[in-house]
Amino acid sequence: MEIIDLITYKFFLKSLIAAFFASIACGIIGTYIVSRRIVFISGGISHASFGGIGMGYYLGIDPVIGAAVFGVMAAIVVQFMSEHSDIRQDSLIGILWSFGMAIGIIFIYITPGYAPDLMSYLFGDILTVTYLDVLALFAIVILSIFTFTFWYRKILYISFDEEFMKSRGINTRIVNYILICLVALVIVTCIRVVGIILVISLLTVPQAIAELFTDNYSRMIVMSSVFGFSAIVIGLVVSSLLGIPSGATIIFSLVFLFMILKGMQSIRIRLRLKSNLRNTKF
Amino acid sequence: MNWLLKLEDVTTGYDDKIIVKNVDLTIYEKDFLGIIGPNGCGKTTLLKIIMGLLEPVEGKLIYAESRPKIGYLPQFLAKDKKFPISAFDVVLSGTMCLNNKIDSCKDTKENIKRANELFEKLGIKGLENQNFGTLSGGQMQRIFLARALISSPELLVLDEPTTFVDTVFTKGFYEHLAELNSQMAIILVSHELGVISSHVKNIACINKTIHYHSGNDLSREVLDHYECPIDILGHGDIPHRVLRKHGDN
Repeated sequence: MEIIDLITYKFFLKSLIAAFFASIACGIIGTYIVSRRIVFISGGISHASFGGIGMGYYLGIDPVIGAAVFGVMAAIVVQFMSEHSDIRQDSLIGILWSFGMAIGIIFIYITPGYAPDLMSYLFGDILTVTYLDVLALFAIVILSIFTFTFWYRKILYISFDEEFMKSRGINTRIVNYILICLVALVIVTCIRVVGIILVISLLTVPQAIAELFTDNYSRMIVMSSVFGFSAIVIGLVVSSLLGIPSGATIIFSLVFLFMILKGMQSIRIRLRLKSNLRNTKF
Repeated sequence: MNWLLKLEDVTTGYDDKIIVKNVDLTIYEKDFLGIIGPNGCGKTTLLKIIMGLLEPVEGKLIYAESRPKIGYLPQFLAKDKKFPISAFDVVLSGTMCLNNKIDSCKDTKENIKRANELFEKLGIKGLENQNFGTLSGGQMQRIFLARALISSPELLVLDEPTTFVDTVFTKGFYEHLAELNSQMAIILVSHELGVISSHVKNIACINKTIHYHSGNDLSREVLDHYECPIDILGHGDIPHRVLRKHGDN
Protein backbone atom coordinates (compact mmCIF):
# COMPACT_ATOMS: atom_id res chain seq x y z
CA MET A 1 0.00 0.00 0.00
CA GLU A 2 1.36 3.40 -0.99
CA ILE A 3 1.22 6.37 1.38
CA ILE A 4 -0.86 8.37 -1.09
CA ASP A 5 -3.42 5.55 -1.20
CA LEU A 6 -3.54 5.54 2.59
CA ILE A 7 -4.45 9.18 2.91
CA THR A 8 -7.31 8.88 0.51
CA TYR A 9 -8.96 6.27 2.68
CA LYS A 10 -11.68 7.76 4.81
CA PHE A 11 -10.88 5.63 7.84
CA PHE A 12 -7.32 6.80 7.68
CA LEU A 13 -8.36 10.44 7.77
CA LYS A 14 -10.54 9.68 10.78
CA SER A 15 -7.56 8.09 12.48
CA LEU A 16 -5.46 11.17 11.76
CA ILE A 17 -8.06 13.42 13.35
CA ALA A 18 -8.21 11.10 16.36
CA ALA A 19 -4.41 11.22 16.57
CA PHE A 20 -4.50 15.01 16.52
CA PHE A 21 -6.97 15.26 19.39
CA ALA A 22 -5.32 12.48 21.38
CA SER A 23 -1.91 14.15 21.19
CA ILE A 24 -3.27 17.49 22.42
CA ALA A 25 -5.12 15.83 25.33
CA CYS A 26 -2.04 13.78 26.23
CA GLY A 27 0.23 16.81 25.81
CA ILE A 28 -1.77 18.77 28.37
CA ILE A 29 -2.63 16.04 30.86
CA GLY A 30 0.71 14.27 30.46
CA THR A 31 2.56 17.45 31.41
CA TYR A 32 0.43 17.63 34.55
CA ILE A 33 1.06 13.96 35.37
CA VAL A 34 4.81 14.17 34.82
CA SER A 35 5.37 17.44 36.69
CA ARG A 36 3.11 16.37 39.55
CA ARG A 37 4.90 13.00 39.65
CA ILE A 38 1.73 10.95 39.46
CA VAL A 39 2.75 8.74 36.55
CA PHE A 40 2.26 5.63 38.66
CA ILE A 41 -1.19 6.78 39.78
CA SER A 42 -2.12 7.25 36.14
CA GLY A 43 -0.84 3.77 35.28
CA GLY A 44 -3.04 2.41 38.06
CA ILE A 45 -6.11 4.28 36.84
CA SER A 46 -5.53 3.05 33.30
CA HIS A 47 -5.29 -0.61 34.31
CA ALA A 48 -8.15 -0.35 36.79
CA SER A 49 -10.39 0.83 33.95
CA PHE A 50 -10.10 -2.65 32.42
CA GLY A 51 -12.69 -3.68 35.02
CA GLY A 52 -15.09 -1.36 33.22
CA ILE A 53 -14.27 -2.89 29.83
CA GLY A 54 -15.25 -6.32 31.19
CA MET A 55 -18.36 -4.90 32.82
CA GLY A 56 -19.30 -3.26 29.53
CA TYR A 57 -19.09 -6.58 27.71
CA TYR A 58 -21.15 -8.28 30.38
CA LEU A 59 -23.88 -5.65 30.46
CA GLY A 60 -23.88 -5.21 26.71
CA ILE A 61 -22.97 -1.50 26.82
CA ASP A 62 -20.04 0.26 25.15
CA PRO A 63 -16.94 -0.98 27.01
CA VAL A 64 -15.41 2.52 26.83
CA ILE A 65 -18.28 3.87 28.93
CA GLY A 66 -17.64 1.13 31.48
CA ALA A 67 -13.95 2.03 31.43
CA ALA A 68 -14.77 5.69 32.01
CA VAL A 69 -16.86 4.83 35.08
CA PHE A 70 -14.16 2.54 36.49
CA GLY A 71 -11.36 4.97 35.67
CA VAL A 72 -13.03 7.91 37.37
CA MET A 73 -13.93 5.75 40.37
CA ALA A 74 -10.35 4.55 40.71
CA ALA A 75 -9.12 8.16 40.43
CA ILE A 76 -11.45 9.34 43.18
CA VAL A 77 -10.53 6.40 45.43
CA VAL A 78 -6.79 7.07 45.05
CA GLN A 79 -7.25 10.77 45.77
CA PHE A 80 -9.53 10.18 48.73
CA MET A 81 -7.41 7.46 50.28
CA SER A 82 -4.18 9.38 49.92
CA GLU A 83 -5.78 12.25 51.84
CA HIS A 84 -7.63 10.28 54.48
CA SER A 85 -5.82 7.05 55.03
CA ASP A 86 -2.38 6.02 56.13
CA ILE A 87 -2.09 3.27 53.51
CA ARG A 88 0.96 3.80 51.31
CA GLN A 89 -0.06 5.38 48.06
CA ASP A 90 1.93 3.04 45.85
CA SER A 91 0.53 -0.02 47.63
CA LEU A 92 -2.97 1.33 47.10
CA ILE A 93 -2.26 1.86 43.41
CA GLY A 94 -0.94 -1.71 43.17
CA ILE A 95 -4.18 -2.96 44.70
CA LEU A 96 -6.48 -0.95 42.40
CA TRP A 97 -4.35 -1.78 39.36
CA SER A 98 -4.69 -5.54 39.76
CA PHE A 99 -8.19 -5.48 41.24
CA GLY A 100 -9.55 -3.66 38.20
CA MET A 101 -7.84 -6.09 35.84
CA ALA A 102 -9.21 -9.05 37.85
CA ILE A 103 -12.79 -7.73 37.69
CA GLY A 104 -12.40 -7.24 33.95
CA ILE A 105 -11.15 -10.77 33.38
CA ILE A 106 -13.93 -12.32 35.48
CA PHE A 107 -16.65 -10.40 33.64
CA ILE A 108 -15.25 -11.23 30.23
CA TYR A 109 -15.08 -14.90 31.26
CA ILE A 110 -18.71 -15.05 32.42
CA THR A 111 -19.99 -13.13 29.40
CA PRO A 112 -21.41 -15.73 27.02
CA GLY A 113 -19.70 -15.98 23.65
CA TYR A 114 -16.56 -14.45 22.31
CA ALA A 115 -15.34 -10.97 23.31
CA PRO A 116 -14.74 -9.14 20.06
CA ASP A 117 -12.18 -6.30 19.91
CA LEU A 118 -10.74 -7.30 23.28
CA MET A 119 -7.22 -6.96 21.91
CA SER A 120 -7.98 -3.50 20.59
CA TYR A 121 -8.83 -2.32 24.12
CA LEU A 122 -5.66 -3.82 25.52
CA PHE A 123 -3.26 -2.76 22.80
CA GLY A 124 -5.25 -0.17 20.85
CA ASP A 125 -6.09 0.08 17.18
CA ILE A 126 -6.29 3.62 15.93
CA LEU A 127 -7.51 2.50 12.51
CA THR A 128 -10.76 1.23 14.00
CA VAL A 129 -11.76 4.41 15.85
CA THR A 130 -15.38 5.36 15.37
CA TYR A 131 -16.91 8.79 14.89
CA LEU A 132 -18.10 8.56 18.46
CA ASP A 133 -14.52 7.99 19.65
CA VAL A 134 -13.35 11.05 17.71
CA LEU A 135 -16.19 13.07 19.18
CA ALA A 136 -15.28 11.94 22.71
CA LEU A 137 -11.64 12.87 22.08
CA PHE A 138 -12.72 16.27 20.80
CA ALA A 139 -14.84 16.86 23.90
CA ILE A 140 -12.01 15.90 26.25
CA VAL A 141 -9.58 18.17 24.39
CA ILE A 142 -11.96 21.11 24.77
CA LEU A 143 -12.43 20.29 28.46
CA SER A 144 -8.66 20.02 29.03
CA ILE A 145 -7.90 23.24 27.18
CA PHE A 146 -10.63 25.04 29.09
CA THR A 147 -9.44 23.78 32.47
CA PHE A 148 -5.80 24.56 31.81
CA THR A 149 -6.51 28.00 30.38
CA PHE A 150 -8.82 28.99 33.18
CA TRP A 151 -6.72 27.48 35.98
CA TYR A 152 -3.25 27.59 34.45
CA ARG A 153 -1.50 29.40 37.28
CA LYS A 154 -3.40 27.60 39.98
CA ILE A 155 -2.52 24.19 38.54
CA LEU A 156 1.11 25.16 38.03
CA TYR A 157 1.52 26.51 41.56
CA ILE A 158 -0.34 23.68 43.28
CA SER A 159 1.77 21.15 41.39
CA PHE A 160 4.89 22.98 42.50
CA ASP A 161 4.06 23.48 46.18
CA GLU A 162 0.63 22.43 47.37
CA GLU A 163 1.32 23.18 51.03
CA PHE A 164 2.11 26.80 50.24
CA MET A 165 -1.08 27.23 48.24
CA LYS A 166 -3.04 25.83 51.17
CA SER A 167 -1.39 28.37 53.45
CA ARG A 168 -2.76 31.05 51.10
CA GLY A 169 -6.25 29.79 51.83
CA ILE A 170 -6.70 28.18 48.44
CA ASN A 171 -8.89 25.12 48.19
CA THR A 172 -6.41 22.78 46.57
CA ARG A 173 -8.62 19.76 47.18
CA ILE A 174 -11.20 20.65 44.56
CA VAL A 175 -8.46 21.25 41.98
CA ASN A 176 -6.89 17.89 42.82
CA TYR A 177 -10.16 16.00 42.43
CA ILE A 178 -11.16 17.68 39.18
CA LEU A 179 -7.74 17.11 37.65
CA ILE A 180 -7.44 13.47 38.68
CA CYS A 181 -10.86 12.84 37.11
CA LEU A 182 -9.70 14.62 33.97
CA VAL A 183 -6.61 12.38 33.95
CA ALA A 184 -8.89 9.32 34.11
CA LEU A 185 -11.09 10.61 31.27
CA VAL A 186 -8.13 11.39 29.02
CA ILE A 187 -6.71 7.93 29.65
CA VAL A 188 -10.02 6.27 28.84
CA THR A 189 -10.59 8.21 25.62
CA CYS A 190 -7.07 7.37 24.49
CA ILE A 191 -7.56 3.64 25.11
CA ARG A 192 -8.87 3.26 21.54
CA VAL A 193 -5.68 4.79 20.21
CA VAL A 194 -2.95 2.81 21.96
CA GLY A 195 -4.75 0.55 24.44
CA ILE A 196 -4.86 0.23 28.21
CA ILE A 197 -1.42 -1.25 28.52
CA LEU A 198 0.36 1.31 26.35
CA VAL A 199 -1.57 4.50 27.08
CA ILE A 200 0.72 5.59 29.90
CA SER A 201 3.61 6.06 27.50
CA LEU A 202 1.55 8.49 25.43
CA LEU A 203 1.29 10.56 28.61
CA THR A 204 4.96 10.43 29.59
CA VAL A 205 7.30 9.91 26.63
CA PRO A 206 6.32 13.09 24.71
CA GLN A 207 6.95 15.04 27.93
CA ALA A 208 10.33 13.36 28.39
CA ILE A 209 11.22 14.47 24.85
CA ALA A 210 9.90 18.01 25.43
CA GLU A 211 11.94 18.22 28.63
CA LEU A 212 15.09 17.94 26.53
CA PHE A 213 14.25 21.28 24.93
CA THR A 214 12.38 23.35 27.51
CA ASP A 215 11.86 23.88 31.22
CA ASN A 216 8.75 25.98 30.78
CA TYR A 217 5.41 24.41 31.67
CA SER A 218 3.28 25.81 28.86
CA ARG A 219 5.96 25.23 26.24
CA MET A 220 6.22 21.67 27.51
CA ILE A 221 2.51 21.20 26.83
CA VAL A 222 2.81 22.50 23.27
CA MET A 223 6.01 20.62 22.44
CA SER A 224 4.84 17.31 23.86
CA SER A 225 1.63 17.61 21.84
CA VAL A 226 3.70 18.12 18.69
CA PHE A 227 6.04 15.20 19.47
CA GLY A 228 3.10 12.99 20.41
CA PHE A 229 1.32 13.79 17.15
CA SER A 230 4.44 13.17 15.06
CA ALA A 231 5.01 9.79 16.69
CA ILE A 232 1.39 8.73 16.25
CA VAL A 233 1.45 9.66 12.57
CA ILE A 234 4.76 7.86 12.02
CA GLY A 235 3.43 4.82 13.87
CA LEU A 236 0.19 4.92 11.94
CA VAL A 237 1.88 5.04 8.54
CA VAL A 238 4.57 2.48 9.37
CA SER A 239 2.10 0.03 10.89
CA SER A 240 -0.19 0.27 7.85
CA LEU A 241 2.67 -0.19 5.42
CA LEU A 242 4.19 -3.13 7.29
CA GLY A 243 0.94 -4.62 8.50
CA ILE A 244 1.94 -4.63 12.18
CA PRO A 245 -0.16 -3.48 15.20
CA SER A 246 -0.55 0.31 15.27
CA GLY A 247 -0.56 0.84 19.07
CA ALA A 248 2.77 -0.89 19.54
CA THR A 249 4.26 0.84 16.49
CA ILE A 250 3.22 4.26 17.83
CA ILE A 251 4.91 3.60 21.18
CA PHE A 252 7.96 2.18 19.45
CA SER A 253 8.29 5.34 17.31
CA LEU A 254 7.83 7.52 20.38
CA VAL A 255 10.51 5.80 22.44
CA PHE A 256 12.82 5.58 19.42
CA LEU A 257 12.44 9.33 18.87
CA PHE A 258 13.21 9.91 22.55
CA MET A 259 16.34 7.76 22.49
CA ILE A 260 17.74 9.44 19.38
CA LEU A 261 17.12 12.98 20.68
CA LYS A 262 18.38 12.12 24.16
CA GLY A 263 21.53 10.59 22.66
CA MET A 264 22.11 13.65 20.50
CA GLN A 265 21.71 15.90 23.52
CA SER A 266 24.21 13.89 25.57
CA ILE A 267 26.77 14.08 22.78
CA ARG A 268 26.24 17.83 22.41
CA ILE A 269 26.72 18.39 26.16
CA ARG A 270 29.92 16.35 26.16
CA LEU A 271 31.31 18.25 23.18
CA ARG A 272 30.48 21.56 24.84
CA LEU A 273 32.20 20.45 28.04
CA LYS A 274 35.30 19.53 26.08
CA SER A 275 35.43 22.89 24.33
CA ASN A 276 34.86 24.65 27.68
CA LEU A 277 37.75 22.68 29.18
CA ARG A 278 40.02 23.89 26.40
CA ASN A 279 38.90 27.50 26.54
CA THR A 280 38.52 28.15 30.27
CA LYS A 281 41.60 29.36 32.09
CA PHE A 282 41.81 30.06 35.81
CA MET B 1 -1.48 46.02 71.62
CA ASN B 2 -3.90 44.60 69.04
CA TRP B 3 -3.82 40.90 68.46
CA LEU B 4 -4.05 39.09 65.14
CA LEU B 5 -4.90 35.57 66.11
CA LYS B 6 -5.22 33.37 69.14
CA LEU B 7 -4.94 29.69 69.88
CA GLU B 8 -7.16 28.68 72.78
CA ASP B 9 -6.41 25.45 74.58
CA VAL B 10 -5.45 23.75 71.31
CA THR B 11 -4.66 20.05 71.22
CA THR B 12 -3.83 18.32 67.98
CA GLY B 13 -1.86 15.56 66.28
CA TYR B 14 -1.90 13.10 63.43
CA ASP B 15 -4.07 9.98 63.43
CA ASP B 16 -4.22 8.78 67.04
CA LYS B 17 -1.03 10.53 68.11
CA ILE B 18 -1.17 13.74 70.11
CA ILE B 19 1.63 16.09 69.10
CA VAL B 20 0.79 19.29 70.97
CA LYS B 21 -1.45 19.66 73.97
CA ASN B 22 -3.39 22.51 75.62
CA VAL B 23 -1.63 25.31 73.79
CA ASP B 24 -2.65 28.91 74.46
CA LEU B 25 -0.90 31.43 72.29
CA THR B 26 -1.63 34.95 71.10
CA ILE B 27 0.04 36.56 68.12
CA TYR B 28 0.03 40.36 68.23
CA GLU B 29 0.34 42.85 65.42
CA LYS B 30 4.02 43.47 64.64
CA ASP B 31 4.99 40.77 67.09
CA PHE B 32 8.25 38.92 66.50
CA LEU B 33 7.75 35.55 68.10
CA GLY B 34 10.50 32.99 68.16
CA ILE B 35 9.39 29.39 68.59
CA ILE B 36 12.01 27.00 69.85
CA GLY B 37 11.99 23.39 70.87
CA PRO B 38 13.70 20.06 70.27
CA ASN B 39 13.18 17.98 67.12
CA GLY B 40 9.78 16.39 66.81
CA CYS B 41 8.28 18.52 69.57
CA GLY B 42 5.54 19.93 67.38
CA LYS B 43 6.98 23.20 66.06
CA THR B 44 5.85 22.67 62.49
CA THR B 45 2.54 21.22 63.69
CA LEU B 46 1.92 24.39 65.66
CA LEU B 47 2.64 26.50 62.57
CA LYS B 48 0.20 24.43 60.57
CA ILE B 49 -2.53 25.13 63.11
CA ILE B 50 -1.74 28.84 63.10
CA MET B 51 -2.01 28.89 59.30
CA GLY B 52 -5.20 26.86 59.32
CA LEU B 53 -3.65 23.91 57.48
CA LEU B 54 -4.43 21.54 60.31
CA GLU B 55 -7.62 21.42 62.34
CA PRO B 56 -7.22 21.26 66.10
CA VAL B 57 -8.66 18.13 67.73
CA GLU B 58 -9.66 20.23 70.69
CA GLY B 59 -9.63 23.96 71.30
CA LYS B 60 -9.86 26.63 68.64
CA LEU B 61 -8.12 29.13 66.45
CA ILE B 62 -9.61 32.62 66.60
CA TYR B 63 -8.91 35.56 64.31
CA ALA B 64 -9.20 39.13 65.53
CA GLU B 65 -11.16 40.06 62.42
CA SER B 66 -10.81 37.86 59.40
CA ARG B 67 -7.99 35.48 58.58
CA PRO B 68 -4.89 37.67 58.33
CA LYS B 69 -2.85 37.59 55.13
CA ILE B 70 -0.14 35.03 55.80
CA GLY B 71 3.18 34.76 54.01
CA TYR B 72 4.68 31.32 54.56
CA LEU B 73 8.27 30.32 54.09
CA PRO B 74 8.34 26.55 54.43
CA GLN B 75 11.15 24.47 55.83
CA PHE B 76 13.58 24.27 52.98
CA LEU B 77 13.33 21.04 51.07
CA ALA B 78 14.95 20.17 47.79
CA LYS B 79 11.82 20.30 45.70
CA ASP B 80 11.62 18.47 42.40
CA LYS B 81 14.74 19.79 40.64
CA LYS B 82 13.23 19.29 37.22
CA PHE B 83 9.92 20.98 37.86
CA PRO B 84 9.27 23.26 34.87
CA ILE B 85 8.87 26.61 36.64
CA SER B 86 10.88 29.82 36.54
CA ALA B 87 12.05 31.72 39.62
CA PHE B 88 9.76 34.59 38.62
CA ASP B 89 6.71 32.35 38.54
CA VAL B 90 7.56 30.95 41.98
CA VAL B 91 7.51 34.49 43.37
CA LEU B 92 4.28 35.29 41.53
CA SER B 93 2.64 32.24 43.08
CA GLY B 94 2.61 34.25 46.30
CA THR B 95 -0.06 36.51 44.81
CA MET B 96 -2.64 33.77 44.46
CA CYS B 97 -6.03 34.67 45.87
CA LEU B 98 -6.71 34.41 49.53
CA ASN B 99 -10.24 33.10 49.27
CA ASN B 100 -11.65 29.73 48.48
CA LYS B 101 -13.31 30.69 45.24
CA ILE B 102 -12.47 28.82 42.08
CA ASP B 103 -10.93 31.45 39.91
CA SER B 104 -7.97 31.96 37.68
CA CYS B 105 -6.14 34.65 39.66
CA LYS B 106 -4.57 36.57 36.83
CA ASP B 107 -1.22 38.26 37.10
CA THR B 108 -1.95 41.92 37.21
CA LYS B 109 0.63 44.48 36.16
CA GLU B 110 0.84 45.49 39.78
CA ASN B 111 1.89 42.00 40.87
CA ILE B 112 4.57 41.84 38.21
CA LYS B 113 5.90 45.24 39.23
CA ARG B 114 5.97 44.17 42.86
CA ALA B 115 7.77 40.94 41.97
CA ASN B 116 10.42 42.90 40.10
CA GLU B 117 10.89 45.18 43.10
CA LEU B 118 11.41 42.17 45.37
CA PHE B 119 13.99 40.64 43.04
CA GLU B 120 15.87 43.92 43.25
CA LYS B 121 15.51 44.30 47.00
CA LEU B 122 16.49 40.77 47.94
CA GLY B 123 19.52 40.72 45.69
CA ILE B 124 18.23 38.08 43.30
CA LYS B 125 17.95 40.23 40.21
CA GLY B 126 18.95 38.40 37.06
CA LEU B 127 17.53 35.07 38.24
CA GLU B 128 13.97 35.80 37.09
CA ASN B 129 13.95 33.52 34.07
CA GLN B 130 16.10 30.76 35.49
CA ASN B 131 14.55 27.43 36.23
CA PHE B 132 13.94 27.22 39.97
CA GLY B 133 15.58 23.80 40.27
CA THR B 134 18.92 25.12 39.02
CA LEU B 135 19.31 27.69 41.83
CA SER B 136 21.51 27.36 44.90
CA GLY B 137 20.09 26.85 48.40
CA GLY B 138 20.52 30.51 49.36
CA GLN B 139 18.95 31.72 46.13
CA MET B 140 16.00 29.38 46.58
CA GLN B 141 15.47 30.66 50.11
CA ARG B 142 15.48 34.26 48.88
CA ILE B 143 12.98 33.36 46.17
CA PHE B 144 10.78 31.75 48.81
CA LEU B 145 11.07 34.86 50.98
CA ALA B 146 10.06 36.99 48.01
CA ARG B 147 7.11 34.66 47.42
CA ALA B 148 6.06 35.06 51.05
CA LEU B 149 6.43 38.86 50.93
CA ILE B 150 4.81 39.67 47.61
CA SER B 151 1.31 39.75 49.04
CA SER B 152 2.35 42.22 51.79
CA PRO B 153 1.33 39.80 54.51
CA GLU B 154 0.24 40.84 57.99
CA LEU B 155 1.92 37.74 59.34
CA LEU B 156 5.12 36.20 58.08
CA VAL B 157 5.67 32.58 59.09
CA LEU B 158 9.19 31.20 58.78
CA ASP B 159 9.97 27.55 59.41
CA GLU B 160 13.70 27.02 60.02
CA PRO B 161 14.64 29.47 57.27
CA THR B 162 18.41 29.23 57.62
CA THR B 163 18.97 25.50 57.96
CA PHE B 164 20.64 24.93 54.60
CA VAL B 165 22.34 28.24 53.96
CA ASP B 166 25.67 29.74 54.95
CA THR B 167 26.33 32.21 57.76
CA VAL B 168 26.79 35.20 55.47
CA PHE B 169 23.29 34.65 54.10
CA THR B 170 21.91 34.10 57.60
CA LYS B 171 23.26 37.41 58.91
CA GLY B 172 21.79 39.45 56.05
CA PHE B 173 18.57 37.49 56.29
CA TYR B 174 17.95 38.36 59.94
CA GLU B 175 18.81 42.00 59.37
CA HIS B 176 16.20 42.05 56.64
CA LEU B 177 13.66 40.42 58.96
CA ALA B 178 14.22 43.10 61.59
CA GLU B 179 13.41 45.68 58.93
CA LEU B 180 10.28 43.82 57.84
CA ASN B 181 9.09 43.58 61.41
CA SER B 182 8.11 47.25 61.35
CA GLN B 183 5.41 46.33 58.82
CA MET B 184 4.27 42.86 59.84
CA ALA B 185 4.17 40.28 62.59
CA ILE B 186 6.72 37.50 62.27
CA ILE B 187 6.75 33.98 63.65
CA LEU B 188 10.13 32.33 63.39
CA VAL B 189 10.75 28.69 64.14
CA SER B 190 14.36 27.88 64.67
CA HIS B 191 16.74 25.84 66.72
CA GLU B 192 19.48 28.40 66.26
CA LEU B 193 19.07 30.05 69.61
CA GLY B 194 22.01 32.37 69.09
CA VAL B 195 20.17 34.23 66.41
CA ILE B 196 16.69 33.77 67.68
CA SER B 197 17.01 35.50 71.03
CA SER B 198 18.88 38.49 69.70
CA HIS B 199 16.24 39.30 67.11
CA VAL B 200 12.87 38.28 68.49
CA LYS B 201 10.56 40.17 70.84
CA ASN B 202 8.97 37.16 72.52
CA ILE B 203 9.84 33.52 72.80
CA ALA B 204 7.68 30.43 72.98
CA CYS B 205 9.29 27.17 73.92
CA ILE B 206 7.38 24.17 72.74
CA ASN B 207 7.73 20.61 73.85
CA LYS B 208 4.34 18.93 73.57
CA THR B 209 2.92 21.95 75.33
CA ILE B 210 3.91 25.58 75.18
CA HIS B 211 5.75 27.93 77.50
CA TYR B 212 5.40 31.52 76.50
CA HIS B 213 8.07 33.93 77.55
CA SER B 214 7.51 37.61 77.07
CA GLY B 215 10.71 39.33 76.13
CA ASN B 216 13.84 37.88 74.59
CA ASP B 217 16.22 37.64 77.55
CA LEU B 218 16.44 33.92 77.43
CA SER B 219 18.52 32.70 80.32
CA ARG B 220 19.45 29.29 81.52
CA GLU B 221 17.15 29.76 84.51
CA VAL B 222 14.23 30.68 82.31
CA LEU B 223 14.64 27.58 80.21
CA ASP B 224 15.11 25.36 83.23
CA HIS B 225 11.97 26.78 84.68
CA TYR B 226 10.15 25.95 81.48
CA GLU B 227 11.69 22.48 81.31
CA CYS B 228 12.82 23.16 77.80
CA PRO B 229 15.42 20.54 76.95
CA ILE B 230 17.49 22.48 74.50
CA ASP B 231 20.94 23.95 74.05
CA ILE B 232 21.15 27.32 75.64
CA LEU B 233 23.19 30.38 75.00
CA GLY B 234 24.51 33.44 76.68
CA HIS B 235 24.28 37.00 75.50
CA GLY B 236 27.03 39.30 74.46
CA ASP B 237 28.76 40.29 71.31
CA ILE B 238 29.75 36.74 70.63
CA PRO B 239 26.93 34.36 71.42
CA HIS B 240 28.25 31.32 73.23
CA ARG B 241 26.47 28.09 73.69
CA VAL B 242 26.45 26.04 76.82
CA LEU B 243 25.91 22.55 75.56
CA ARG B 244 24.17 21.17 78.54
CA LYS B 245 21.04 19.12 78.75
CA HIS B 246 18.40 19.27 81.43
CA GLY B 247 18.92 17.07 84.39
CA ASP B 248 22.70 17.29 84.20
CA ASN B 249 22.92 19.89 86.93
